[in-house]
Amino acid sequence: MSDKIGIYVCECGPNISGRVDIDRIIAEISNLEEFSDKELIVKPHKLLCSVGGKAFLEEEIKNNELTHLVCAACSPRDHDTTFINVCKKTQLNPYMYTIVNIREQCAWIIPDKEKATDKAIQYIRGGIDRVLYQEPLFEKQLESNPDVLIIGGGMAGLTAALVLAGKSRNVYLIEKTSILGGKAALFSEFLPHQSDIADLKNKIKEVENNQYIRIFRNTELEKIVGFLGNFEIVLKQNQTGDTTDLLAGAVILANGYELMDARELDNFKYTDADNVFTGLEIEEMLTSQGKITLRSGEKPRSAALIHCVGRKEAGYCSQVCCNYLLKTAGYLLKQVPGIEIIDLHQDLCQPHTEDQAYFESFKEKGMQFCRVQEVALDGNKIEYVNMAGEKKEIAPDMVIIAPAMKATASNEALSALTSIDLHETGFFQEAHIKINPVSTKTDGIFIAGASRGPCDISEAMIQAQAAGGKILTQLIPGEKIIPEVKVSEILEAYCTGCKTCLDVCAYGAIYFDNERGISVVNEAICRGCGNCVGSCPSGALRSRHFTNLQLYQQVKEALR
Amino acid sequence: MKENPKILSFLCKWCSYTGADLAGINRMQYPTAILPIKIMCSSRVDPVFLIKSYLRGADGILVGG
Ligand SMILES: Cc1cc2nc3c(=O)[nH]c(=O)nc-3n(C[C@H](O)[C@H](O)[C@H](O)COP(=O)(O)OP(=O)(O)OC[C@H]3O[C@@H](n4cnc5c(N)ncnc54)[C@H](O)[C@@H]3O)c2cc1C
Ligand code: SF4
Ligand code: SF4
Ligand code: SF4
Repeated sequence: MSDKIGIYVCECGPNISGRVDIDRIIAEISNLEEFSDKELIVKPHKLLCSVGGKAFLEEEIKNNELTHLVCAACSPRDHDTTFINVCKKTQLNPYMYTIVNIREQCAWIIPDKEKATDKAIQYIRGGIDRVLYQEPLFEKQLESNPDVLIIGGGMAGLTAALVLAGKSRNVYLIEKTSILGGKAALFSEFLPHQSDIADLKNKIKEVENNQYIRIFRNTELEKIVGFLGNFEIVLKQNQTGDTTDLLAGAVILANGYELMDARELDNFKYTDADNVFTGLEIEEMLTSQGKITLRSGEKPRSAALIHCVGRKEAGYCSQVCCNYLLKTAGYLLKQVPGIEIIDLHQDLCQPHTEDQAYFESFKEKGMQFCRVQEVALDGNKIEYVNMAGEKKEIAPDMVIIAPAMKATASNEALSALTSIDLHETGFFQEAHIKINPVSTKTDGIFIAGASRGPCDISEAMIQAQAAGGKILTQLIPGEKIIPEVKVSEILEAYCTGCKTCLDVCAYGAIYFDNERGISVVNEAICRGCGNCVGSCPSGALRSRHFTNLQLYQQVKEALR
Repeated sequence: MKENPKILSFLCKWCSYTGADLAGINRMQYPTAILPIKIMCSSRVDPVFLIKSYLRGADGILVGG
């Protein structure tokens, strides 16, 4: 079959036609010498993306039995998919089409109409040359499993489980310990302007009673392979060592945080015998014995709260500790009327609308707030330098500290299993802080809660709902998944098995086939970035829709 | 400077290609010397492309990613 190339130049109303000479484009492209052995059909259209324009294109492709199609129009970001969908209604394989951007990157940036026309012609030539080297590609449809694995049964994990579980979707919730609720399970109260702590118990009950949620306690992830819609998972029960195999379509990492051990810091010296407690230890004490006491069992008559412990070393503000230290002060004031409390802070973080009033209410209760430049602890002796530069020493009965929230060892272990990157702080790295904050670089794996960075419960829940929402739109029960078609491939005949490409692929899309001694691209994971292509010393890697030849044709036309 | 330099520009579809579109949407003006080629990711640019491009007469190459 001889090549029949349809080239359609869109006027885009006055957007393109007002700034380039459409007639000259049609005339010059129709008479290009280098394509004289091919049949070119070159026509303008007022608005190719309109209903009429699409019908016109469809007719043209069918009636002229086109083998290749070039649309000279707007940016592919606007209408590439529009024209691909037109091709899908015809005999023409959509990958035998290309769009040439003569609007954003031509008509709109060159004020001189003649120069803009020259450039449009140059771009279109490049497009024709490229499309001639394109080859048909075929979409695959893969079955997808709508079920979701959630790692971590804290507030983030519980919230996500309730968003997702339903008649057509099972949730597998795995929790390393035997209890659900995460750190919040240790709390006596939430902040007063948040909900009642009973809500947590209700939430746990709701999860336990949901027939579509299967809870695995004392369980951790052992192995995971696969991609969006098709993850093969092995779980391991920590006590028995028993394993369970599961299939799921998506995963949420919600494995939380821990507190830094303040004793690792140079200026914080204390032992378990001292009356020095972390905020979390106070919560634990209150939950287990119903009251806050010194180690001797006596009531404290004075207490100091120390903020920002290890903040400088960690390199970030933990966002929640200012508030929970006040919550702890609230417990003390309730239990020991008249107790003297001093609050030593270098900074105060009050990110929510309710926080300021909450803080002010403690001033009214007679708590002393002191901003400090430095603070050091030795047992219950505190040495601090206030803002006037004066050095002070105090020795309250009880010291409550707020060590930085940090990533747990689970982050490292899960990063090794899932190949999700860690941020330099050890928390999980999101795909994009603004555009895609709960996604990761791997499709189908999401992050929510404090394993993604310090956050309070409201924020952990917002993130869990966002991740749940993403999954609801990406994994629709009964719908198949169509992976990227413009992927890379490895030509067996050239591959020497050097494994260079395995390290280069950021998505973990290449695996080594031991039997054949070559590397293989998993097309369901490959994003077609082409990173591997340039790295292969044997030239065995080929990017299917961005081949060396296709790009070289464009380079040649551009430099003509 | 050369009168009509040729600056080949390999633009990543996610960022720099989008940036070039944005320049157009804002009706910014830049020299016709810029010759854009869209790629899926700047990492696709094989060093051989650069050598071949210079050999074929490119005066400069921009890899945007
Ligand atoms: C003293 C203190 C008081 C606080 N008070 C409040 C408050 O009043 N209000 C508020 O909004 N915030 C408060 N916070 C912050 C709150 O603790 C966090 O925002 C919240 O716990 C984050 O929830 P999460 O689910 O992300 O993590 P977590 O609560 O840490 O839960 C993570 C869960 O994952 C499990 N897990 C870990 N690793 C694995 C693994 N590998 N496999 C399976 N499971 C795993 C853990 O066992 C845990 O159950 C306080 C924090 C502290 C330290
Ligand atoms: S939340 Fe408050 S105590 Fe915690 S690190 Fe930030 S400023 Fe310091
Ligand atoms: S880099 Fe090339 S030769 Fe080496 S394993 Fe990968 S495809 Fe094979
Ligand atoms: S094209 Fe990109 S995603 Fe695909 S195998 Fe190569 S490096 Fe990995």
